[in-house]
Amino acid sequence: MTTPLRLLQLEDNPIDADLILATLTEGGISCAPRRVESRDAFVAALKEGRIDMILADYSLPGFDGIRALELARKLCPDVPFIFVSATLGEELAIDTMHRGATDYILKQRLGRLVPSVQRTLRELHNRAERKRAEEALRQSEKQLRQAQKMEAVGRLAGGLAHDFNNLLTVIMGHSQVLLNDMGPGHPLRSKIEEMQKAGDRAAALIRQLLTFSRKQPSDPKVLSLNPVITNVETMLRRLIGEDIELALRVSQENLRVKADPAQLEQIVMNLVVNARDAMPKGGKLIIETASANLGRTPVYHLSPLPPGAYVRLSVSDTGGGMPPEVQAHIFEPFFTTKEEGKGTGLGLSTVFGIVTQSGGGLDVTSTIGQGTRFDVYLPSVTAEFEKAAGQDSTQQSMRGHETILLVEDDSAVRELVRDELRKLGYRVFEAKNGLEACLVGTQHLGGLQLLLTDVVMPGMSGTELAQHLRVIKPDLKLLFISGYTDDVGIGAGDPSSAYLQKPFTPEALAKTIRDLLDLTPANTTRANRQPETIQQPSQDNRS
Amino acid sequence: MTAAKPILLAEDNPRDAELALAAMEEQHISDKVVLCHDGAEALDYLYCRGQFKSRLKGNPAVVFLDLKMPKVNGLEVLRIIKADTNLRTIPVVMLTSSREERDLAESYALGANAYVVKPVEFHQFLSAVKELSTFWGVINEPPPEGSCSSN
Repeated sequence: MTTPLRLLQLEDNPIDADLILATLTEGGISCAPRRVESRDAFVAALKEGRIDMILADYSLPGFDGIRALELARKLCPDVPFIFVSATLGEELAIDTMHRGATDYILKQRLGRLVPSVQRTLRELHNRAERKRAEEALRQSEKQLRQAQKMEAVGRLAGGLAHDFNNLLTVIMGHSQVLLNDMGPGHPLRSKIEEMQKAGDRAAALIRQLLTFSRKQPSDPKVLSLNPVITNVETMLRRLIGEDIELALRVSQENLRVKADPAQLEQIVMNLVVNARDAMPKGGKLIIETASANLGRTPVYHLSPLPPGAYVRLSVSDTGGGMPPEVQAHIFEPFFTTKEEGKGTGLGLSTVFGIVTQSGGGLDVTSTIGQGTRFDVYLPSVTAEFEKAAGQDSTQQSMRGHETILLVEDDSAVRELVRDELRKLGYRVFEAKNGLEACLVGTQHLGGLQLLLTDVVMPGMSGTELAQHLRVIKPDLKLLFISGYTDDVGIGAGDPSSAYLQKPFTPEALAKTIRDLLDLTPANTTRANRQPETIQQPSQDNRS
Repeated sequence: MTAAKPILLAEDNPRDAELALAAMEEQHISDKVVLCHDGAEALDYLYCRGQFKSRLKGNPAVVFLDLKMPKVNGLEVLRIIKADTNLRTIPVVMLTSSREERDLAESYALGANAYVVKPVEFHQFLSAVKELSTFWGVINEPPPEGSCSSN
């Protein structure tokens, strides 16, 4: 051991004290001793702390060993206390042990001193180890509970949002229909427009909820973090007002992450708004970026982060800080300490959703009266930047004459979509579940160009249905609609299928359908292996 | 809404048949169900022969066909139905416990109107059958092209 033992000696006899030290040094224990004689000096030393071990004489002028022991137990309960003294009966010796002394060494037999100190140090070391292990276990249990809770709340929020999306699709769709029918001068127009605005706000709230439950479709790209922050700097300054000083400390390195740029901005904005609200009387807000090597998982996460290179984005404030009971809930949706109407309680939960969806995690450190600091960790990416996607095709007519099979179990949504499609000129067959769609579809397959189906339905799902119908009609175009953003990936990689997230506008629907139907297949030879219509089956199509 | 036409259920497994009948009972359509225990019996019904010689004329509203049955299997019955101009319009739902892509593809290639993998669990099976029985109107009158879309 290289660090010397910090020894507090309560000993009025300097010769004895030196002898004890010499014995220890000879035994290979290097010491940083401090000797005190009086009660006051002893108490002062205890209060000062930084002691590894106390060696005390039992009989002192105007002070006795038992009282010294009591003081030590009270002020430094974890520091071992060894009596090194002359003259003591067995009884007294045992009494001192009962009162918490670690050992009792007779000055006449200092040979026991070194082994005793060594054993005490070993025990001390073991106890510290155990304490560390227990603390680590407690910490990881706490993190696991937190992760499970967030997972459960996320699932709940996701399910709720799905139902609301269906309702909103109906509300928004019908009000759009009304507006289109009304003409510009209609007296009720402004009322419908108000309805639509409220619907938009509701849709935005639902998007946030979905972001929290990591079900918001995101469009991740490899991008540099620093420009994202510097780009929103002016907006941030306007956001935080004049009382708060904003400092940007972006790293010199090119920190690259794979994330949705809009979502990254959302992280920064939400954290900044949170920091601003923590400093109603002004203060300092620091945004910092840096590269970080993580060997541990940050406290707030959903699944453990593999160790490696990360990018850290920190937002800290000099506000009032948060007590632990507040900190325990900050990422839960609808948790807010702001007064009613001031916050939705979705800001930080949105941050949590985005960060965990991007494979990252967060740490929060908060000290009452000093401020709060959020550290966001996102996996560092070394890959090349992605090219911007090809540009949209030019404006084309939204109308059509093709035949569409519409499958949706929510009748309000189905009727809305059906009416919209018919208005655009399409022929529509409808079914309210997968099986019904199969029966209807197989009878009209010849003229059918597009299957427009909900994904999640009781019984046969939209994807199963599509698979079945594609068996007989391989060139059938597919459009999946869903309120569950779990389904976002559906149809990806298949150019003649598409996905539309509820709630959608009639325009988005019309455009997506037109795009799909106008798509000319790359390999234009139409599959002739299957019968063109099921009405004319023949013996030779059993291939 | 009462389905005037009967429903033909061809199923050799008595347990599966019982489950299907129970579900149809719940939908108050069980009295319309004709249960056949193999493919040959189903064909006898469709062609009004054998024990069904004196039955009321007319096609069933829908045929549920087990894929694997003794005597004449489901695919063969399906092939015969879809090859006969008088029977071709009857919707045929393949009920099967096979998830094999080949069976699915072959069923549809032969002209099946739906392919339902028999769910193992009772309530799933019930809801699958219930789902089917909720639109007998559609099945009773197979719509000529286009009429289904008029409102």
